[in-house]
Amino acid sequence: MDPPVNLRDRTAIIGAGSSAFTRTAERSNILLAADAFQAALADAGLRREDVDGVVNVLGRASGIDLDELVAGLGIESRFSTQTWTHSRLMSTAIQHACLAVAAGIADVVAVFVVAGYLKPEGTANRQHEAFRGRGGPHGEAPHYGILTTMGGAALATRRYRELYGLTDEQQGMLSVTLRRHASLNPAATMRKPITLDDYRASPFLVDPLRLYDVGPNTEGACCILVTRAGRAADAPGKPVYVSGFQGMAMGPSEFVFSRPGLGALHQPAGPFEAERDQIAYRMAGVTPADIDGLYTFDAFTTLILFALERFGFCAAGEAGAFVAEGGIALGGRLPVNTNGGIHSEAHVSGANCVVEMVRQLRGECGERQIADARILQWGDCFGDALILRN
Amino acid sequence: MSVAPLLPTITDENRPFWDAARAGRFRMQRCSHCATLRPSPSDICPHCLSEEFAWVDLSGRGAVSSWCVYHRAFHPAFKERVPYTILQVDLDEGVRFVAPLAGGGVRPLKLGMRVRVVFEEAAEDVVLPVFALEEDVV
Repeated sequence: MDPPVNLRDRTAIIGAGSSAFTRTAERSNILLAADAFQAALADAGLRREDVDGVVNVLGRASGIDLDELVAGLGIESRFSTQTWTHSRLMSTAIQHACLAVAAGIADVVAVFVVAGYLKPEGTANRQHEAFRGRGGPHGEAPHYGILTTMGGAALATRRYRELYGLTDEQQGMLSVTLRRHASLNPAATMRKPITLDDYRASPFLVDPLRLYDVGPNTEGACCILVTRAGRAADAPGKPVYVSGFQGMAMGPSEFVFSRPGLGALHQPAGPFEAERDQIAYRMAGVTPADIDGLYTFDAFTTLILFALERFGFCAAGEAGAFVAEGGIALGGRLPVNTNGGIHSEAHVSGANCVVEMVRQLRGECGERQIADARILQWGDCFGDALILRN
Repeated sequence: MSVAPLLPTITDENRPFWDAARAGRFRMQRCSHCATLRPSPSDICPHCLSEEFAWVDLSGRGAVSSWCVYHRAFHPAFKERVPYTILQVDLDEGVRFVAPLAGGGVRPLKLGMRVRVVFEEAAEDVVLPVFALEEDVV
């Protein structure tokens, strides 16, 4: 399949904004959305009337539905859509916005993630899928005590540990590194640095996942404004171009909290080698070696290992050593989640990481700035990717 | 005061599985066209898209391919059950099934350890297939 190179750098993120991120529920979901929207508009130098498209991620019960969102913020939208109620569709939502803008059916699309996980209806009701006769999408089976999304992540992590000898130190350096990054980020909810000893002393939630392997539930919203590259070039701020992307992988070879070949849940086990020339890289005209920083879904830290291998930054089984050597730290070979990620900044489905990518590419990140950041990637263990450049 | 256990959601689709468990049998749907086994019931075979299937009894024997241990009770029903172990098992018939270690608790485990299905009563008329280590089953 030929990659859509004609879409390379055709669209841009013209503005990005966030609400405050908090560890208690302080603002209603529509107010969180409004905070993020106004911050993004101010960042872009746009007015609400310039926005003519809306893509919403999550919806109820963890967030807000498209109807409430558009009505509440008084947006006149002519391209309007909402992804299913799962975090992992965040970059897919941004891709929809890019495609709509590139096709000319909208001019400025606002992508919203509103995540009110600490409201009574937030996380509790999200478990409704687990109670289907066929169980939940992360392997949940409540009658067996396989509760929350953590069980599936724990099974994948245990298998990886047994196959490749991942050590406690290597696993612990994931959360130590993310906390170090968050300590440099005034917006992060979990800013206190931790040591490997702290990590080893933290209790198991679902062995092999300890408390510090798991990001807390938080409250927050982000808004990303996408427009044509030409329009972005005329904006006051420095534009950030969308160079490449690829969709989320699903199907028989996939389990959401794994990478192909690992053999977690019902996914086949077998040798793994990263697919070469993935669509996002070919679309952007780059290789993994050109990427200055990686942003990825890290609600469970070990998912970072699977993402590093999926995109070919590390060979199968070698991501743990790469992390322990400082490979994912600021100043390392491939800094990962310099904002602290979902793990330590906030769980806004990773939209908070996209906001960080924009800030990094503009050189606005102060102490945690990646020196001379030019090309950054969002990429998940579940296969989706966005490649942004300045 | 004990909290009522979380029971399976029994539907017309999965009732044959739970009825069999009550009778001490472990079964799955098998596609009548391509013979693919389905670890959870469905109206259609995801391998060949055939709608024809039969319920077949399985040996219940297999090998551990991963596990995890719940130390936190994420529902009050499990408050007195932690820690308990969940096993991912490659059944000898070539399909996986994920279920708890019989009796709960934590055991030293390794990939490839042999297990077999045994049955635990969860409530009146509700029986759960779970896994016991072969070394524990005489």
